[in-house]
Amino acid sequence: MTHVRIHRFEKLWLGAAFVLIVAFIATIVYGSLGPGVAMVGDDGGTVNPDNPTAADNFRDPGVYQADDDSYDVYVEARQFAFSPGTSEPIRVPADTNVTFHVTSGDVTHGFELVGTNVNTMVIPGQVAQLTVNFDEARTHHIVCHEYCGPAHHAMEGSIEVVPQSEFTPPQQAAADQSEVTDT
Amino acid sequence: MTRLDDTALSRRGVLRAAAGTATAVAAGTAATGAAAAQAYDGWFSGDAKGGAVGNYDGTTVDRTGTDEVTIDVGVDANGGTYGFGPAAVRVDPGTTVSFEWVSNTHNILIDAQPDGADWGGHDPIENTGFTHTHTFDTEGVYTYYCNPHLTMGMKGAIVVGGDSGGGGGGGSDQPTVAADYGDWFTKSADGGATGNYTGDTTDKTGTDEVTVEVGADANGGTYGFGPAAVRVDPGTTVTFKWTSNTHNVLVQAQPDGADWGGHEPIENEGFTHTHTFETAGVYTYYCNPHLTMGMKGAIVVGAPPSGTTGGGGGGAAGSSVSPASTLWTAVFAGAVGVAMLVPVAVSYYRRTPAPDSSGAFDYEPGGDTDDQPAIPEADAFEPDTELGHDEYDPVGTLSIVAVYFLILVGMWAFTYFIEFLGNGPTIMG
Repeated sequence: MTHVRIHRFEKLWLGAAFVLIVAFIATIVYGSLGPGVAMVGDDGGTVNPDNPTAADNFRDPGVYQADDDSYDVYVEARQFAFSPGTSEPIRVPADTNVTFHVTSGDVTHGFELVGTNVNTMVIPGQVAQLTVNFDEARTHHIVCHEYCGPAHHAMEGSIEVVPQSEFTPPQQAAADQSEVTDT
Repeated sequence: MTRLDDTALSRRGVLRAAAGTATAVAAGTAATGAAAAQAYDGWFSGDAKGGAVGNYDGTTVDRTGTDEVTIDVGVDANGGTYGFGPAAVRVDPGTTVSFEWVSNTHNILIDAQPDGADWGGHDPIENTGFTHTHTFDTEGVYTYYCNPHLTMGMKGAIVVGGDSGGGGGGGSDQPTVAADYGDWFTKSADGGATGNYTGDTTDKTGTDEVTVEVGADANGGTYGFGPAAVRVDPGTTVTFKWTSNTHNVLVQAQPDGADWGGHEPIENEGFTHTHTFETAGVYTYYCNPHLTMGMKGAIVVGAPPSGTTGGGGGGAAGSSVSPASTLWTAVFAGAVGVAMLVPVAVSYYRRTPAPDSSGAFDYEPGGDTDDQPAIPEADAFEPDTELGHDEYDPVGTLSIVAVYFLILVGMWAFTYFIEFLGNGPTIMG
């Protein structure tokens, strides 16, 4: 019975493996503290799935200006359309914080901006809340990536990111602002 | 706007076909005329853009003579609330048509309209309670659809003007309805083929109350409606009686003006759902959990057309499917079974020693060695030199580990910093 002796080469690659694990964890910490990558949490709250837009924490689907450089977009997903998004594109300005509040009026849907890291599940009764900063003026496509019924494959929409100088806040946002200041 | 004009849609031809349709349906709005299958140039079939329209049965509802006509947007059809009710309607020039939303998330986009017509449709998606009105002055055929549900077959048509049919053949007070289910009971329609539909429609006319079993033994389990197809008189109360668990009744298609809602909640044995069928025509329905098993049914309301008894009609298509396909299913299943057993049989054959060479596979080390030579042991291996534990350097192994390590680091950097962080935008909060 001799004690186990570890060869110095083995010590070398064991040490390297530990360094790699620490580096992986450091990457996640960096992503969250540096570029500010976040997860979709439950901060959106809950709504009545039968009539989501009537809830206090949800508004009529559309784009609303929150302050100078942040906007709220309320999206209701239904079989088989995003409202807004499908029949009319969602128009938001570039280089602003756009917070999407997405919920479903019927079954579980998905909300994914194709080719980006922006995606979430859309669950009836839950509001998925996610903030995105679009730094580039371009069109993004929205797809539903949770099977939601026979025409799931046809459920899509679009987001038009326009330069701030070309962006005109929608009427409803202005009306809503005055309403807020009155109360 | 007039994309179809220069292709096959000749306005005069369509009007002529539609006029024929109007003649056929002059007796009642719900009669299932077999004519006019080619009307609207295939707009209502799956060959046009979008899906086939389940609530278009080949008839154009005649609403000429009235100034105001209502079309419901989002009626129960096409596997959900995805229909225009009625799907095809004829009106006089100058008629104001109100489109009333009766369910959510619909819009109206125009596929084609006559030259000079100025209908804009209604592009924004609206919900229950919304109304869009338009006065149709220009004669011709207008086709339109709901964009979110186009693939489901939510399409409609309006014929303005033309021959209103003249009421020919409107004499009989009892509408006759052919038992024509199209391909509903085959697997070309939604779900599987209905095994318990034999091509015959059970005739229950003359009785006021009819019972249909929900969950009768059929289609490989308790997945049938019993009977699958039944003919009743208008005004008959049909009782759907659940005879097994986990079924519901959803309406696939029903005549214009019919108001059967089916029973969407899933119920168990003992539950009953009753509905009185007033409107003549063909009703098709199914059980959603077992649609793929072929749990589909049909109810024909009205007298059979003269000359046919009981109801052959569309049965021919259904009955021609079953015997041949059963045979082929059996042959195919047998072939698959044999193919799966072949490896087992082969391995059994190979492991069993052939009876005439009994000694050949007998391996007995150290056994009786009378007739077999002893196997010689190899010489013990003598090393030339011996190395201590730390004196040997596995350089080859180290270099392989180093290469793997570099690949890992490279993939890590690529995945996180290039693929993930580089593919903005990213969720920030």
